[in-house]
Amino acid sequence: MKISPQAMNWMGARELLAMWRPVSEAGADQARQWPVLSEAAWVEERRCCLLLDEALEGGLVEGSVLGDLLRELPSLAGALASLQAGGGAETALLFRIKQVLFAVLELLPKIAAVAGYPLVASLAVREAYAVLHAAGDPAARFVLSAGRSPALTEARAEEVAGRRALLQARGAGGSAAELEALQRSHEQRRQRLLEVEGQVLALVADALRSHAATIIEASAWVMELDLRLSKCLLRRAWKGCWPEPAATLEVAEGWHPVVAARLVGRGGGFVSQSFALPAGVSMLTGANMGGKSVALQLAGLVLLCGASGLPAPARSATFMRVDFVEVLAGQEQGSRHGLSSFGSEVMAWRSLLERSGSGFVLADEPARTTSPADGAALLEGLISAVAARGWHGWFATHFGEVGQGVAASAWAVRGLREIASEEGAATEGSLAALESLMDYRLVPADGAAASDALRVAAQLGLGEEVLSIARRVRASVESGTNRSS
Amino acid sequence: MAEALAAEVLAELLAAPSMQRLAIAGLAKNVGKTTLLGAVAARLQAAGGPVGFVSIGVDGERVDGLSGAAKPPVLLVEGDLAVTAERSLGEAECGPELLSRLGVRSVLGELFLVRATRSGRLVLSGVRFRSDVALAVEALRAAGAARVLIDGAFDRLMGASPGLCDGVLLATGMAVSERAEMVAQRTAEVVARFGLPVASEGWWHGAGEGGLVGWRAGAVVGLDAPSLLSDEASEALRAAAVERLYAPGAFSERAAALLLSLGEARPREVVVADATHVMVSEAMRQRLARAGVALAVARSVPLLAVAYNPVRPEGGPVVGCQLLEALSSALPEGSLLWDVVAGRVDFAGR
Repeated sequence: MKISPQAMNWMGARELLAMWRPVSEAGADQARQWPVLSEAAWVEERRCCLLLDEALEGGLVEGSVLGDLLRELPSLAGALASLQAGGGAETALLFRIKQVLFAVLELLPKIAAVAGYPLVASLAVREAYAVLHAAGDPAARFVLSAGRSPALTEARAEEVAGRRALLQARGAGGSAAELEALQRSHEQRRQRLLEVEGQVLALVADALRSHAATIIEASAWVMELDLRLSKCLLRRAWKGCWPEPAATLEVAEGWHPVVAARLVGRGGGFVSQSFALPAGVSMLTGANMGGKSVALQLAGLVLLCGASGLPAPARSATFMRVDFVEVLAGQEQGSRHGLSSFGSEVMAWRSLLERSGSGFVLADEPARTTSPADGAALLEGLISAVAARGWHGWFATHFGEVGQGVAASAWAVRGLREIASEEGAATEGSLAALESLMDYRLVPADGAAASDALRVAAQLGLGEEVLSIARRVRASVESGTNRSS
Repeated sequence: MAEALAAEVLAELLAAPSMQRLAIAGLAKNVGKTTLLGAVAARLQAAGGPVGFVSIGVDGERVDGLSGAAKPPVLLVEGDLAVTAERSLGEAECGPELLSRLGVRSVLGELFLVRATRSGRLVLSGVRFRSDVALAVEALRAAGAARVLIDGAFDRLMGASPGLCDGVLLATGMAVSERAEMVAQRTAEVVARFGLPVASEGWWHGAGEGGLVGWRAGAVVGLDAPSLLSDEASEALRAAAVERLYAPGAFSERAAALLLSLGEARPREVVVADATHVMVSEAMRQRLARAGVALAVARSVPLLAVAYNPVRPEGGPVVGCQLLEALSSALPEGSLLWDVVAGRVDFAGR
């Protein structure tokens, strides 16, 4: 599924991605961007995530135990490239590979309790691990032990003997010439030892090269386990769900994690939203500051999470498989390119309508920068054009009457609660007070588009000097009388 | 007699159970810091128990960023532990067993915790930041190091911070100046920083993080400035006219000059985090004192001894007695003066 960086920014996708936290180096690298999965890969990913999630829920595996083992693991990308290119005779590189192999051997019995979860061939991993672990209790640490080669044993013994001889001569007050000769001999033995160690390391790397396929498989396996485990932990932290592919986009008790975190950080709370969008184009109307944009953003995130195999922040959710998701919101910044806000928006729509494939369009108050009459007319045309292409969409607008003949469904924000009378509310004048009075829940719309603009403006403290006139004008318009009468 | 007693006191200080983490700091390049490190390490190794090593590079590289000279290796004995960068492992002569990765990357590759499987040299590299030092020290101790030696970069005292170490050994020598009296004077200035009084009350605690904190009329005053070097500092201090000031970060000549420029609004006490953050000359410290501004530290760390190297780096006569005399006169009475190569320890002022 394609989605532009601008669209991702608008819906808070980057911040949401940062909440997904694999603990291994390779996993963390992988989770820096949204996964792109083929349909077959998605099915397998979903199967594995569900198995792991159920095992975590059922106590078959402990997330913290797996996490502790995964946390230590390096990325083997560089090590494998070096090994396959004929290099790899470096202790640090061999240590990294051993860390991963050891972790796989530790993880395998723990994850084996999850019936059906894919495993790697433990015998092959054990053989590769044995190349790196010459003796002693199994461990991730790596050392070039003397027992690996008689030449190494001998070189080490010679180095020790040379050092002892030098120390003894120093202790016994040997002559300068004697000490110099012993020092030279010791240095030669030390150099010889380093050479032999280098040769043995090269032999170890050679032996390991024949296990490259196993190491690659093991490395991918731990990374995938880390990615899946962190997805499951994210779902559990959210009390979220695994979105199911369907012909509709349905969200039950969903919430935008980025917006929610911001609100909670300010000491406020947040309200979950539920909606069900059938195939085709749906509408969304309602009060200013009632959460229409957030609802659209949440819809986008659920589409993205679903397609990427990530959990969604909702009690339950379904999503549509589409080739692209496009967002049209806030094209007003185009004026610097010589276009008016309206011109920018038109260009964005033109570009969108030239696209092919299946798509989902999220449009936040389209055609709002021209006259209401022209805007409503244009919006009608845009909805028809999107529907005609067989795309899906959700359009937030204050033109409540638009799209009634075309839209598959219509939703509205409940809006300000009745207790907030225009006069009473005006005394508060704060965002917090507005938030406490606003009912952000979505309900099926009846066609009327209540913007609550004047009440919202009053709640935000706009003075009576303006509002009294505004109310009078609106009443005149609603009653069909001329303003001047 | 006094010499023997001084040697005994030094031995006791180095062996004290409270001195788990020792920092080696140097006044300049070629003052014998590495020799000092080797001498202290040999004593600790002889006392038993693995010694842990970590070195702070000026720029985390194998060569000193200022002088370009290669960092000398340290001698580890079997069982000793060290933190170093990947690139140094290829030339390690101590048969390093790689125990873990620290999760820190440097220009020389990732940092590793290693154990020596035989006696041999190892270049300590890759550690650049204070947070990395803290991580390294923690890893060394967790792996079983009985004592940890922190080798500081020359001309930097970061490793000697109380949060990182329990005691400091300072290396000085004829590389600091051509004249022994000047060496002694420069050394005394640094030693004086370690002797700054500890502010008696932690009144600045809990007043937020990372910025200047003031005290006036018995109450904490929040100052809207991150440090004395920030643009906002002057205005904030003039407006608040605090009696006491807690200043995190470096206390430099510029910061001191700012305080002097405040006139009646200058505080009478300035508390700096620790001695490693004090970067003013003795002359400036005296100017502050004359202006009624006393300097104190929030936390102190004991300076155990001053090791001196009487050899001039460019060659020429060794001035052991001359330097010892100058240091003995300039340093506080009772300070331990250690000529590492000659194996001589004296008390200053006696």
